[in-house]
Amino acid sequence: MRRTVIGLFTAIVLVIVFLVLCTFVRKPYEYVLLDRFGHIIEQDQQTRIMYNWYFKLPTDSVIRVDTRLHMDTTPLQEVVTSGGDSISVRAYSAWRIVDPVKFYRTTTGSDTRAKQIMEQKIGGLIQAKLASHKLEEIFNVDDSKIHTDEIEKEVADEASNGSPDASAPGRRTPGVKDQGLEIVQIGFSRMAFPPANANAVYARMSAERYKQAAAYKSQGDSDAKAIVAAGENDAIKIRSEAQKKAGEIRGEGDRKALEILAGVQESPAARDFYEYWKSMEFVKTSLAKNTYLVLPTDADWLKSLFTAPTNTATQQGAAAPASPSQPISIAK
Amino acid sequence: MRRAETLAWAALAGLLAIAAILLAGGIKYDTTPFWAGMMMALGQALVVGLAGYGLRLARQAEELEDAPVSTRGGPRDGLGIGFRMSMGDDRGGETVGTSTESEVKTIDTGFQRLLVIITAIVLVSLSVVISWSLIWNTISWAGANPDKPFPIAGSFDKPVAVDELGLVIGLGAAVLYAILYWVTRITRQTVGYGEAVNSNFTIGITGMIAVGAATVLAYLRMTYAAEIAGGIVAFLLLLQGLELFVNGLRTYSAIDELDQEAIDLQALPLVPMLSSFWLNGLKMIFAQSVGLAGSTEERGVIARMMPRAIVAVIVIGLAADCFRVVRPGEVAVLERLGSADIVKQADGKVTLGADSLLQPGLHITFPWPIDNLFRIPTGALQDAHVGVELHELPGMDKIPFEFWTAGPEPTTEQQVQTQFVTGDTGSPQLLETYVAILWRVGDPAKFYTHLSHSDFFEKSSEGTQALPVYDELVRQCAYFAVTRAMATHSLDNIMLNGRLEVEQHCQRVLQDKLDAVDSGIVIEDLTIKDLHPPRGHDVADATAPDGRRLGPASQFEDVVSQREFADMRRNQAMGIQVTSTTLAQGDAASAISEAEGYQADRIGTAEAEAGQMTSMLGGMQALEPDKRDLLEKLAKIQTKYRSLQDVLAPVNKVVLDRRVGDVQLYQTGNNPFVPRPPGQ
Repeated sequence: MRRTVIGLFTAIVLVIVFLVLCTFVRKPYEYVLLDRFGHIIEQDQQTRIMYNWYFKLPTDSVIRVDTRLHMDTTPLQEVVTSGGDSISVRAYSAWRIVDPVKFYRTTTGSDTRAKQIMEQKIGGLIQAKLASHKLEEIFNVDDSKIHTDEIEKEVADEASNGSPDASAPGRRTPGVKDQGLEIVQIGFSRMAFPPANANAVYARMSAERYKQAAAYKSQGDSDAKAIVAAGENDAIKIRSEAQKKAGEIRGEGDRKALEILAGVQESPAARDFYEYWKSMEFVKTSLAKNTYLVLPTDADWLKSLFTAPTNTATQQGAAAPASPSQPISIAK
Repeated sequence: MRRAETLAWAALAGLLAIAAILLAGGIKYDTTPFWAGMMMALGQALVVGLAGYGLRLARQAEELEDAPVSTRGGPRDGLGIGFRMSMGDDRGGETVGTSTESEVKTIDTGFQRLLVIITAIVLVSLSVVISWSLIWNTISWAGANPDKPFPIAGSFDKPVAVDELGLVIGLGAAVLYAILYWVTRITRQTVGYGEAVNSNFTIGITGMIAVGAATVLAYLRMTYAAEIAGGIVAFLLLLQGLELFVNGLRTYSAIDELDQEAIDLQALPLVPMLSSFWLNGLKMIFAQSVGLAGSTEERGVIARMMPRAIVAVIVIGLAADCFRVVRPGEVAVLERLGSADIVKQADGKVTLGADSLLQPGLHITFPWPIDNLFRIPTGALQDAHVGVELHELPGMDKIPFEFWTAGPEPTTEQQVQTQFVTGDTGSPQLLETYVAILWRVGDPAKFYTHLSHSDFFEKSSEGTQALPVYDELVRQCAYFAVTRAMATHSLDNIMLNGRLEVEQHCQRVLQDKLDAVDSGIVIEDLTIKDLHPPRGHDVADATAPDGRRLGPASQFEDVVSQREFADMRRNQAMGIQVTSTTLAQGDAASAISEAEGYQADRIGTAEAEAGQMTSMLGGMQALEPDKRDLLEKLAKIQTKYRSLQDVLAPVNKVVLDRRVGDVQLYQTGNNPFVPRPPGQ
């Protein structure tokens, strides 16, 4: 029993030790290198047990390289455009390892080292590329005039493959592909003004809004005055129109009245009577209240009142008062 | 006893040697397991030294006394068993008293207790020092700086690699410790005396193996191994210290109920207190459990059940791990020994085979570590955001009002982080926004095969934050999309009528960007939750009308105020306009009405007069001329007298006879222009 237990325990320990030290499992998205005393053994030279389960020597170091997309961002850096405007730029890069052996040899498999290389490369290229574009080519309501996509592609391409070497035509400077890396995408995640410029932009924006506010205010006053004046103008027009119309109505009334009266004055006798009648009406209207009328007793129509009755056929009637022989003053 | 004493001094020397080796390693490599191992060696050297001292005193007493110690109780039957019977701990004092002339040196029992308790405190303190200054500090620093390499060895800023020399130091210390453990094992010659030294090593051997293993793993650059080893050492020191503390306080008299026999602390000072009682019990249970003990008849219930329980737990655990549940709203990629059925189609599209892509439900698989599930939430919406939300006003936590100009002024970093530039040609404007994004995994195959799930480290002034790479990709692409959308729209368009269009543009750009890297991520919704001009700073400005130039946000609010004020002025003017025209219209209506009245009056009067004349003169033309003349004259007379009547009735009348002569008429009154009678 004692031997069995010890044997079993030893066997289990040995199996576990073997599995841990002599085998490894590779993930589908990984590329695994083995470091055998400084000699790199690539994946296709490794011995596979089954699936992605491989043999290795206990002394082999397993170097796992994730071949999927990695991310990195550059620090926010100040860049001057060709127009002399400063902008703060931060770019992100999506990158992957395309040559694990080269990657391991140049960076010792360190993502941090790879990021440092890429940050330097991309940071410099961003400065160089943006310096040849104007601000209007980055911020513009006309999408066709924006060159940001073009800049991003140039930066990604030159960072990966290297830039044309100015000193040696036809040759290129080293790119991150020389480190086994490939930049898949670059994007400017932040593009803003540096703090000092931002304060100046604030002042400009404030001034623009102040101008706009003043314009609103004066426009309001102006509109108000125009509206009041228009109202007064309209009122005058309305009144004058009404006066005109009222005159027409009155005239029409007069005309119609005359037509009516003319209709009943076709004969001379009627016209004569009407004239006499209207003269009576005039007198009646003219001699209103508070009029003192001095009448002689020998007026035709009064004579009969103060004298004995006679043959009236011989008398002459007179409505108008006789002029007094003596001055008579009538005062009101 | 002499051999036990010799071994104790040898162990002390060995432990000091180990401490010296590890001290050298600690100075050179500054790594946790070396420092922890050194502290353990020093702490245990104190214990072993005390045990050696106790054995020396016991040996001297035995040599000086005639009677051998073994006859006074005989510690042959095990640890501390067989000492002479005693009514209490201080019975040994009598022995001291009786042997004063023999110059037997011994230690007072109370002083023994004090020494053991001080030793316990030292061990516990060392445990705390290891836990706090070595492990906690290192892990805290690593947590705050996830982007920096974990400090396996060396200082935080300057990590060093554990090389072959370090390997020799760590493994050498562990081997030396194991040799000491082996040398000090309990033999027939040391039973009853060597337990204190040996139990010391029995406790510590696990810790020293951990130190050795951690050194190997540090050589292989495995992180956290050093801290785990340090933790094991600290735990063991704590355990030993606590037991010594209990031993220093417990009674050594006989207790019948507990089958405890009395121990004479005067005959063998310190050693019983420095021994570990529970360790022997544990060793016995373990040995009996796995059948390494002697006869099976001696096995207890726990020992008998232990092997079966362990096997049952392993079997049940493996069986349970075969049943995997993929929850609703997620799929799982089955990795069998690291392999998944990834199919690359001719057009470059990547798919996962049905056997590798597990849908929601119960699945039977091989247990770990053969089959491993990588779960991908395809239904659950995840969120990302761009910009910062407007602050809430103090004291209004439950009332989420947000104002452009309330609250503290933004810092420079906030300004840079949150501002977006608009596309107003010639005069770009600045805007602050908060955009909320909901996304999910739409294509798990692409998501699994193309996007790394390792950490992305984001540095800020508040520290370093670790995010999954896919989260950071969505965030950075979202920042890109918002920056681009703002850059191609004017301020008025963004803030007024084009907000929806900007949102759609933004979502389109973001989706295109994510699709370009085959991320498999789908943007479900993108909403501009807040959009406002930057607050900026209100600054003194003598040229400004109020002596203060407002920041953009305040100025924007002022524009709105002035626009409303202008509208108010217009409305007031319109009121005046309406009043004027309405009054004029009233006047016009009145004038027209009067005219119409005049017209009606004139026509009516004419008609009346015409009617009257028609009635009076009607039919006259048909009469004889004489009669007609008569009638016409009569009509005039009637008219005359009726008019006379009408004239005379209302007026003042004065009838004078011509014979009256000179008459002067005056009217009295106050009018100065009216002629007055003479003398008035």
